[in-house]
Amino acid sequence: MRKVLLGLLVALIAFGAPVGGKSPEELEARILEKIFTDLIGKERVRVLILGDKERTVSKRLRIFSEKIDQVGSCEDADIVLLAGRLKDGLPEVCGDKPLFSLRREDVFKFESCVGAFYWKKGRPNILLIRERLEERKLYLPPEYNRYMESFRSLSLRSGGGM
Amino acid sequence: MRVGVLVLGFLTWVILLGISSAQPITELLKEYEEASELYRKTRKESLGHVIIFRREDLERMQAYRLADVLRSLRFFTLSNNRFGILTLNEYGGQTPIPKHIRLYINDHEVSSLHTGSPFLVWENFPIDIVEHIEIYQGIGAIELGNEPATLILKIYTKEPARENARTLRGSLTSRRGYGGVFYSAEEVSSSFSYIFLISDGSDNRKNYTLGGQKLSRDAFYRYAFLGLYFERAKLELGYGFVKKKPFMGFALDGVAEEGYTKAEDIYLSLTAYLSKDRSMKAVFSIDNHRRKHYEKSSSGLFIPVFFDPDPLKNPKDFYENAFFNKVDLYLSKEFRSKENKLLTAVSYKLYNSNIDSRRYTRLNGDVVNVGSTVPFNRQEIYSLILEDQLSLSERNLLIGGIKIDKYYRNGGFEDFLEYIVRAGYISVINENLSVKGFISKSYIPPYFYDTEISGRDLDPMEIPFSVSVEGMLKYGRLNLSLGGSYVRVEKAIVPDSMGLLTNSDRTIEAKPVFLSLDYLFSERGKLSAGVSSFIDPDVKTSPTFGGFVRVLASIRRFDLFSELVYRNGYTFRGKRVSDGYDLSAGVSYRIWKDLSVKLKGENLLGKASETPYLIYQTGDVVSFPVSERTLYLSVDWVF
Repeated sequence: MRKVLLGLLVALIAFGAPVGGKSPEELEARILEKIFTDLIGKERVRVLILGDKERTVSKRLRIFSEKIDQVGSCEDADIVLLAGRLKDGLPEVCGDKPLFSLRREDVFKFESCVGAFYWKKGRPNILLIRERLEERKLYLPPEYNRYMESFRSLSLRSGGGM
Repeated sequence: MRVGVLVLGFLTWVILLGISSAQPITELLKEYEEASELYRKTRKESLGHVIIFRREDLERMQAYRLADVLRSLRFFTLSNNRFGILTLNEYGGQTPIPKHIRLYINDHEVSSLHTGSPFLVWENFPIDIVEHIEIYQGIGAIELGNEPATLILKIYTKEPARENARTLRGSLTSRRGYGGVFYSAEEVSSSFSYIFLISDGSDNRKNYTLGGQKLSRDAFYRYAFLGLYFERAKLELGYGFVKKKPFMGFALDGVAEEGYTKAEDIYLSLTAYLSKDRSMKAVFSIDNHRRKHYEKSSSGLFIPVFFDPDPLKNPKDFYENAFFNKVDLYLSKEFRSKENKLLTAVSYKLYNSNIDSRRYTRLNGDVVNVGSTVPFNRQEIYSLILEDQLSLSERNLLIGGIKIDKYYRNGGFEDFLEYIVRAGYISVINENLSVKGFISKSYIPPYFYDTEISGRDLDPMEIPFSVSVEGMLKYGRLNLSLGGSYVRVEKAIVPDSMGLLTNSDRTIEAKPVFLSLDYLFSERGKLSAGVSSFIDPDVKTSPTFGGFVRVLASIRRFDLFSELVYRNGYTFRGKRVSDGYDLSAGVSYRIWKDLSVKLKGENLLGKASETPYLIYQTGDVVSFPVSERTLYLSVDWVF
């Protein structure tokens, strides 16, 4: 017993908090990776990134995510990630692909947007639209239940806007 | 056996690591939020001994203005001076104008161009817009290119990219005060974001009666702030206005029967990052400060510089209208390598003071136009800053810096050269234990107010030697800090027997010590506490020992806080001032996700530490707390 306790002590003192110390950029990539793999139900997910933050987000995902394969067109993608504003709108070929955005307002702008991961009031938020996920037969584990909202109640509360 | 223990320890670590990679989304999100907190980016350990108020703490404390976070600050007692303006009395002493305290809004210093104290205009700047506050207790911090300081308050506005919302707050107080704040912050595109704030309010305090006359320090205030942020540049515009009743003012009988202080600050600060990696920075800023003061007392006013042995020639009213401005240019370049960070910077500051009108009426009825009392109204400061941070190893950092300031002053006032030198050492012994220490030599220059009110030139106050050490221990959910320092001050700027400021020939020594702790007793529950004292203080005309306990907790839709601040009793000119117990408490309730109602009370026991004031006419001493028992009811709406 003493040995076990001593061992635990050595682990805690020598390695401090082993889970700590990740950068926000890495954690952001991990969150997107987790949502996408759970959403699509595959080990590896093909993602097309669009928007004026495409370069930054693409670089982060390349560095920190092993399960996201970035693709160059909607046809090849399992999901489209909207990173920032779209200068020329959404390409038509992406119409039937599920979108996931880093801006909350895209949920109201695009009917195919199934969710968003965004900052509001200084806190990161995840929003998932129940009807849209069901329509596309995308099922998520119960740990996501607290982030699910019905679009109807969401637009009522937001006055149809932001 | 030793090998076995190590293997077991290693296995435990691996298991913990394994658990972390399969983290549920909620945990991952929380970890992301904590890792993204802005203070992790802005905090500069090298500036001194730091106290941080995080956004979550500020929200739960219902901190609306600076006093709400300064109340518990170690080594200081929150006070009001004779004009009812916020000040911090250093343990043992009385500091009517805290010119050694620098206040920053982001990277711009807003301390008064007139007195050096930041509090007249910025006391009520709404904390609603603030992401976090860093308080540095460190003599001779030079990295910011600031005016010399012993205490630096840095308030950081919220980052637009993380706000994306508009917020409206309305507050009412049990003393018929009110506050209204609106701000909006948004990331418009990947290369542009903004934050905008307007606020208006009245800070009503309890009125007192002295010799049958009313004593008031009520104030109205108004603020605006605009920050525009681009990829390689930022522009910030700040505005503050205050109109205050004069409280006791200069009145001989302690009651300024009529009068006001109106002060207005406006500034523009433009920062350009000249290199892609942001290592080269140029800052241009202009500040304008306007101050009008009028007061009247039938008993007469005691303004040392206008004192006349003939009682009838002393003022019964006094009016002044003064303008001040400052232009600041700052250019810095940082050279970084894996082990070393060298900061090089040059700065130029130009200060102007313009007394538009200054007059007083004598008790015999004569009006005297005085204008400036000294010919000095323009000052230029050229500074050179060098600071090197050398990593001796991954866990050991050595800091060395020098700031040379050359002052050119007009009106026949002596030019002077001053310098700040500083060496520091920070060592992270292991994940749980770290120490830091600093040795420095610094100074505090005289401000326009000091020379104007004294009618004479003054030398800078010298801090020839100060040393400070702090040890920090982390044990599970407990963070403990223990620190102490020694400071020697020479040529302190103090009033002489006639009340005129002069350089003291006494050496003052201070030996502050503190112990503070933070303990997370649940996921969203935090206990903070601390005690601080000056060992064997030179003077004891204000508290010399203090402590606080603060509890912050969130339960379902409720946020709760309670804080008790203690300051010991003391004797001031024969009057005993009792121990002070300042109890604040508050509760917030989230009606919906974006709508909260909040109730807060301060000085709930009615026993907060009191500040003593001398009545010149009688030699009596009266004392009042900064604020009497007051309740605040607020509604906060995010949309």
